[in-house]
Amino acid sequence: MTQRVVIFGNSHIAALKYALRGTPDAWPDMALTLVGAHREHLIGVAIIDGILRPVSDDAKRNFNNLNGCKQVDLNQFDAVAISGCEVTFNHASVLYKNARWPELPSIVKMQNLPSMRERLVSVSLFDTCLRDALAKSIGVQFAHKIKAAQPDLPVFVLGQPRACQKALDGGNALAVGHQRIVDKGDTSVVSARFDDIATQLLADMGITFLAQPENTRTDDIFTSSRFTRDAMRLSSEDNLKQPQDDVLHANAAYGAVVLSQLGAALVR
Amino acid sequence: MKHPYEDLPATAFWRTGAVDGDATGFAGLHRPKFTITPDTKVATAGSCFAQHIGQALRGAGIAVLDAEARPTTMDETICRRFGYGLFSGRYGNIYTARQMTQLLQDVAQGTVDPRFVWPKGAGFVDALRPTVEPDGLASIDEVLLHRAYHLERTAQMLRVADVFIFTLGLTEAWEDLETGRVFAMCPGTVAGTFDAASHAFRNFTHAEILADLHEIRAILQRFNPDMQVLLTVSPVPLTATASGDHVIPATAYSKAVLRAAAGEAVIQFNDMDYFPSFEIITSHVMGGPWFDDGQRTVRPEGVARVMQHFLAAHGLSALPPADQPTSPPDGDISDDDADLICDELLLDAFAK
Repeated sequence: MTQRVVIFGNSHIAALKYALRGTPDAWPDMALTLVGAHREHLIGVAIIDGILRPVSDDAKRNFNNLNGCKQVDLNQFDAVAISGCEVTFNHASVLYKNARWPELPSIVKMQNLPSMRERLVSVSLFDTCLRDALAKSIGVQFAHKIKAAQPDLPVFVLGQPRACQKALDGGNALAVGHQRIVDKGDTSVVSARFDDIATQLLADMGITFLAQPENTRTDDIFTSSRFTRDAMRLSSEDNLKQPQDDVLHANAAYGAVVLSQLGAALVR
Repeated sequence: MKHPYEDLPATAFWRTGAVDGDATGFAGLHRPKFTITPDTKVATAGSCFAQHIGQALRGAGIAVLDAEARPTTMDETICRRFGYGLFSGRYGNIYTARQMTQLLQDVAQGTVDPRFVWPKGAGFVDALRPTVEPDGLASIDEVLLHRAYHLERTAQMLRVADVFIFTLGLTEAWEDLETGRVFAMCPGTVAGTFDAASHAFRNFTHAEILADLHEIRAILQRFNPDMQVLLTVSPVPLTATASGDHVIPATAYSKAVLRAAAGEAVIQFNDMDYFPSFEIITSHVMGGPWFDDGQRTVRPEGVARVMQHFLAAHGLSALPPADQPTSPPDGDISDDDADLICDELLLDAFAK
């Protein structure tokens, strides 16, 4: 039976949009509606009797420009998914900056922990801070808002793709943060921690987190370049590519993998 | 005929020093033996009231040391729940002089005793600071690893400290009979299991506390021979007493013994001083009342008044005068109180 699914998202929804456009018949079990919104506009919505409407003038304009609609009737759908929207591994990378915990391979090997420049913290503190950061993200707030308004509607969060490996060339904070994890050999543990915490946090809200598919990753914390090359932008203008130096967005091939992942999750 | 009282200053007389004290801002209430300046590296430890001192000193631009500073990318409020930023080490509340002595002995020797790990839920906590990991740790080994780290970081901090401020809170504690180790919290209250055969109540005497203060000073000066010690007594009453007395006389006894022991130590050593935070909050001539409706937590205005005296005595300033409270007088002060992490307050949950 075909399931009617609405997917909300910020710029990362473009990967799904162009995947669907490229192979519209690839997911016959899902009737997909994609609704994009930039920045925090997804939080600035009201849901009354299942009708989701942007509240502020900016949000209304953004909704209309990107989607040509003024509202979304959630009653018309069997499931909701949220794509991107700050539910990102980058939160873990930021927390890792000056904190380490005992399960990390780099810490297991280290002889003199008190001399370490970074702080030794408990995994419990790391988890608590990561949960807090994720809970404040647009994606989790928006998912929670939908779940609160429509408790019987299945809600999925599709994690934001990890950065492209070429991010390491950028010299910015993201590059430095990820490079630290690579240099210390802690990629697999930090990556797994992020997926576990996001899964637990959302499960506590009755929401399903779909972690980035393994086959789209490289070195645990990056998205393979074949899934980031020629990524597109979310724009009212069609076929607008991300700039050459973009390292955050994935392409239509990635979008196709994620849509298949969502389809499989709906069957479960 | 001349006599000694003729030449005494106004501060020596009740009428001029106390009754008329307000007019002079209680001048001379604290005459520091040693001065704290913006260059002084200060370490703090003690009961919950000691957290105020650290916060106020930081506000005055004093370098308050922090052996285990919060990772800057982690949320400050969450980290405070995990014992960060409360004192100069992540040792949690230290209520008794004996607890302080034993911690410093551990720090000096790097001793990690595996007997002091308590089960908590499905995990484990450090019995000597049971509240710094609210969710517990996964294994005994992890508790011991974190304790070893904590002790070494604290040692590194003490080596550079110029002044150690210790706020005495309680005389009452629970002791492990086999080792003599005293706990911050009675076993079984927040973690662990109480066993009458191995845990005994102690109400430390003046002589015991004085001996502990000597030991504290001696150990601190092994880290830095020039370390000076500033003692204060917390004005915060006992949450509960296990002495068998009513909690009011038990509080009076506890504070009197702490105050007397501190006073005697200060007479004995030139590098030990006492700051009268207890007197500022509890003396009836100092205005107030400085306690909130629960009659236990010191109101922000009271804290501000204490710290105003402290900073002024050291030629520092940062806080607004006490008559300009840091929060509205009729405002919700519970938010401010919530900033303090007071383990002993957890006992209140056991009141019937």
